Amino acid sequence: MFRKGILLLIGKRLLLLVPTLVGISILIFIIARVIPGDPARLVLGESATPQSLEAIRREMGLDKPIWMQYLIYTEGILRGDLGKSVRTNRPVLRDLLDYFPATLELTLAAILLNVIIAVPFGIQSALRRNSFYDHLSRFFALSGVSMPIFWFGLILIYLFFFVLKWAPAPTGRLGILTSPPNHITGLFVLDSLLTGNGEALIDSLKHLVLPAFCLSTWSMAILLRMTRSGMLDVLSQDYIRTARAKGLPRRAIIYQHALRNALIPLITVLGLNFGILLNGAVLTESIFSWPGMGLYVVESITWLDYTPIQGLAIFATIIYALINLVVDVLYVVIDPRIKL
Amino acid sequence: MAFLKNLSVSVGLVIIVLLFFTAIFANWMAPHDPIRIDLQSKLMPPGGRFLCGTDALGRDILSRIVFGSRVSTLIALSCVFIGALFGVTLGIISGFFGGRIDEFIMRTMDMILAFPSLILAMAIAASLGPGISSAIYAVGFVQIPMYARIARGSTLSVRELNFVLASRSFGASSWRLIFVDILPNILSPIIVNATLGLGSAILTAAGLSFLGLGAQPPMPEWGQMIAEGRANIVSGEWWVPTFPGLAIMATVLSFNLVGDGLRDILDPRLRGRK
Repeated sequence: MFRKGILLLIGKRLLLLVPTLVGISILIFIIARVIPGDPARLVLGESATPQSLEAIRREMGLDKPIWMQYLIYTEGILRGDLGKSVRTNRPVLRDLLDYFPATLELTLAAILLNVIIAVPFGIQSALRRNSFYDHLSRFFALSGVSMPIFWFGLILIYLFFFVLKWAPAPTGRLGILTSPPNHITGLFVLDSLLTGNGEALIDSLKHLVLPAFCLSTWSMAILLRMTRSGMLDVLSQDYIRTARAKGLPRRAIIYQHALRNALIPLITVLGLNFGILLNGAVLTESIFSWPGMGLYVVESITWLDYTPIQGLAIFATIIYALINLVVDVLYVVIDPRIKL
Repeated sequence: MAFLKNLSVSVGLVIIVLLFFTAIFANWMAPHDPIRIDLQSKLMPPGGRFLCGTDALGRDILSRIVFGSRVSTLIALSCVFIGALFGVTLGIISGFFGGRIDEFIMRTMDMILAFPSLILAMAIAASLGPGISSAIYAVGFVQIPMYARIARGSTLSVRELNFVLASRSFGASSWRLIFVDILPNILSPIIVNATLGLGSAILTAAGLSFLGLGAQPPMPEWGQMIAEGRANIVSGEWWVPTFPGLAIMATVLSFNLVGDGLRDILDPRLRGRK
């Protein structure tokens, strides 16, 4: 499986990542330093005294020429210095890494929901093209991308927590009285399973359901559409006609031939959806008080501390780029027609 | 099937017309003053004088939604204007001149697309200082690569068509070729995506306002209203954030329906031409 060609491909793609990373660092530098009239004021706030502004300016190196500032800034990023949060008084990278597992758990749960709901519905939609079922699921998909995810979260909370009382209060990953499982991965569900902590497992799952479902909405709608159109494309191909002519049972045609080929572009969609999931995570975590990177950044904004958002932009983009790299490699591995 | 498609596009168009109408005539359509605080009428449920209820400061939600349509329309049109203006320009230049310029422009577009859009918009809006104009610049900027890519792709196809080659052989200048020959013929996909982009702009801007980076109180922006009504949900006053959200959803849905319909109408024609 790990042919030499694959390693070469990974190497090549990683190298291509470098100019992308340079580019995004330039863009963030422009946003962080060049656009704001006075970055020092941005950091310290409106009520800062002239002396403290001067001190910060020297500390941030704002008295040096722009190109030198950029070099210092890049060197900082390579060292892992994404700035310091005025609110928590800790390095932004430290904060982000602390809150990352929560976001990861939420995102993974959303992806899981995406796959187990959108793919089957998309397949059925394609098989029953233009039926009432098809129109209904397409309508849901369209509604899904048309609604504000933070609003949907509020509706979910109102329905399932306030009215039906099925869901727990949106207080984060666990109820107030439950203590978190021993830290292994930082993913509460996984950690509870690994340490046999039944109480934490159930509680964390209960708290995970609503936010994960909320987060999955946008990407699920897209995945549903893609699955449907992918299946429709594949089903009209000649080899499917051949399979039918051979007399293969319907099930075999769908799952062994059609689906396998329709899956290939789906992997790409899953990778692209990750960006949407990151967007949604910021909003969803805010609604459900989910202590992830998104909530951290949003709370910083409320405190007029804008450094974390710049750090998150870099951090999220790097993760997004890595995910797409993995997807590209998977793509090549799975589809033997693609030459290395 | 075609009838259903027509039905959904028609519904979308009706809603859009209603939206623009409301935005223009908000002063006459709103039953109450959207900014006047009246603590005596605070948090009243929908019904009677206040069809959608009132918020925590006693302001009529329906009136705020009506005026909010003006804000949202302004935001949507501005964002798409910025995105399309810069994006299409860059895309045409890229596709027309090719070579190093093309490389450079497209790499830059890829750079911007590398970011999750909302997060990039947040960073830009934060740098510019929270406010509605910051939100507009941020969301407009984030949309640029989409238009650039579409314009470039279409330009590449149109560039090689016979009538363009004919104009060129007559000695037409680059500017003339671009404005007279190429631009009118790449408009279809741009219009489709602009329509979809209007909806996307409203959603992203509402998200920014919800997070506090966009429209600031007391401006009646729908995303802002949802943020204000957030605490009310858990105490049972569901109407405060619900109606603004429905307004957003109806608006974006209508843009998506019309955009999809336009795509269906315009695409087969394009395909036929090739």
